[in-house]
Amino acid sequence: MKKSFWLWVGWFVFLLLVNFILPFTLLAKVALIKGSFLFWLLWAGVAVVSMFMMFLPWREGKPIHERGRE
Amino acid sequence: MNESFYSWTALSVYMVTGIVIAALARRKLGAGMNEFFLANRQLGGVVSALTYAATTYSAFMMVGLAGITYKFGVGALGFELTYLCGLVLVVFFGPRFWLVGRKFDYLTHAQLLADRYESRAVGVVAAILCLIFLVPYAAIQLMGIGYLMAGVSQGAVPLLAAMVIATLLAIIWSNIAGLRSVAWTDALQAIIMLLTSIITLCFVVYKGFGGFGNLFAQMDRDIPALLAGAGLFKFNLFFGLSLPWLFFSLSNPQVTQRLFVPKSVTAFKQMIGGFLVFGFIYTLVSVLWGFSARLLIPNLQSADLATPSLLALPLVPRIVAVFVMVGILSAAISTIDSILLSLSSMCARDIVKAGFKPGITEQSEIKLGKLIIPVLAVVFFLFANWAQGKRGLAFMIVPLSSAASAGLLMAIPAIVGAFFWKRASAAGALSSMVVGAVSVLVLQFTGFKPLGLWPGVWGLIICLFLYVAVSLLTRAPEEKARVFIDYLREELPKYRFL
Repeated sequence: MKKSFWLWVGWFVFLLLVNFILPFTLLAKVALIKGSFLFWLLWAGVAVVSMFMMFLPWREGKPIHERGRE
Repeated sequence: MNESFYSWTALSVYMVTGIVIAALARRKLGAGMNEFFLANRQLGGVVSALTYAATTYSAFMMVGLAGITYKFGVGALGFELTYLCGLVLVVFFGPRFWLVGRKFDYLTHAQLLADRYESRAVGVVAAILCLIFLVPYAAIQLMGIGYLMAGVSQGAVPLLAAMVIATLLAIIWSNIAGLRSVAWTDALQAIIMLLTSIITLCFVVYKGFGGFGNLFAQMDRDIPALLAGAGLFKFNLFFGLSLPWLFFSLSNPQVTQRLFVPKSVTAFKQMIGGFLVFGFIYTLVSVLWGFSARLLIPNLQSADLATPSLLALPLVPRIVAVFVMVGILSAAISTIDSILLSLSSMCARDIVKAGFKPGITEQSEIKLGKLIIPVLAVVFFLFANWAQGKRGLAFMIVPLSSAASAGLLMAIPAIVGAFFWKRASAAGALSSMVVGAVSVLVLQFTGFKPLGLWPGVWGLIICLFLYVAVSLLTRAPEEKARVFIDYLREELPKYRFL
């Protein structure tokens, strides 16, 4: 497995931990739109941009039917 | 012009348009199972993205998510965005599904599992799991349609009639040209559903509050309890609902089947990117609908009535409300027909052909698949009709959806292990799926939540333990595992897949 694979896995595990922990701790008493609401929007924005960075380098390979069934 | 006229006219136009689109799709329909159930693996990127979005997002968003936002607050946003973040699983696993799907000619993820573990029983069990747990999920779509249409049309379209119409349309559209008709109708409907929901939100926010700034200020002032932390979500509820959702993109067959269909890498990228953008916007709109309803109509009897009640307010022009109603109706139907198509392909391929009648011809398989579609649709309808009168959290749309996904979650260790763990065995996969699913069902029906954790969480713990332990104690299909995993190891870098 490539190193980048594990780096991305680690990054998303971190994002998920933040998602489950932060709203129930640091933001638990912030009763405003700029609390958890803003946090989750920014958090999702970071996750979406990360995914774009992961799949944008993909490129077309030689079509499988041209290589035949192995 | 009265409410009844608007509603039935819009419905008629919608039904005729859908049938015309499905008929146009039929002109491209070729022969064979791959053609009918996977559009010959030749869908373009834009259609793939829109059908992925319409299949995933449906009644549970504009009705269910808005409802749970109304009741529990901002945690609903986190819960749904957790799902969107779970799309990273498609980035990791999608290319793997796509490659092995083409190489080994897989039609469903159950077939993939049966082949990879060299066990027909694994495929049969995976398919039965989907059959059991997708019934409530599909029924939810019908409930959503019923609530919505009865509310928006102010009774002109009764709840039962709405569910009957949706069931019939789902049967017709999935039968006309299989995935082609489903994908084409999805594509148009996804656009309508996104545009109309945004337009309606603008009407609600600008006419109801005087702008987004005022809406946010009023939220801060009037419903602070719904904004603090995760709102009224306790951690266990939030985690219990989010976990199955996180794995939705790998556990639901109507979604995994879409990983087989993009015609190229470019189409695959467009599918993921398009869906991410769509999902982000649609989630935000649905949640803001829920908050707006909470501020404008604070004392509803059932939170699932938030959207229909919002659309029935005088600040939303009737024509727009009816248009949105059709948009949501079509989105819900697109989910139901995708589920129908997916489950019928599993019944024909993974249960009948692989399990009981290996000699069945491809033509008979398609005939069987088409016959199963109406039978399943009737089951969905009966479940929806039973559940729609019930009250309580368990019968709200989102918890019911999440409970269904909790059952499907039990296939996750077997799916993930298939791609990465050569030591995984059929016995491990079978025991994890069977015991995990039974645990979820028992916990769901008894309402028992040890340590406060939801059924999906316990199910996944049990299922993961069994998958690893039983695999280590039994014999793995070493040669198949080597061929399968080595093939991917060789192919993935050629496309720069992760």
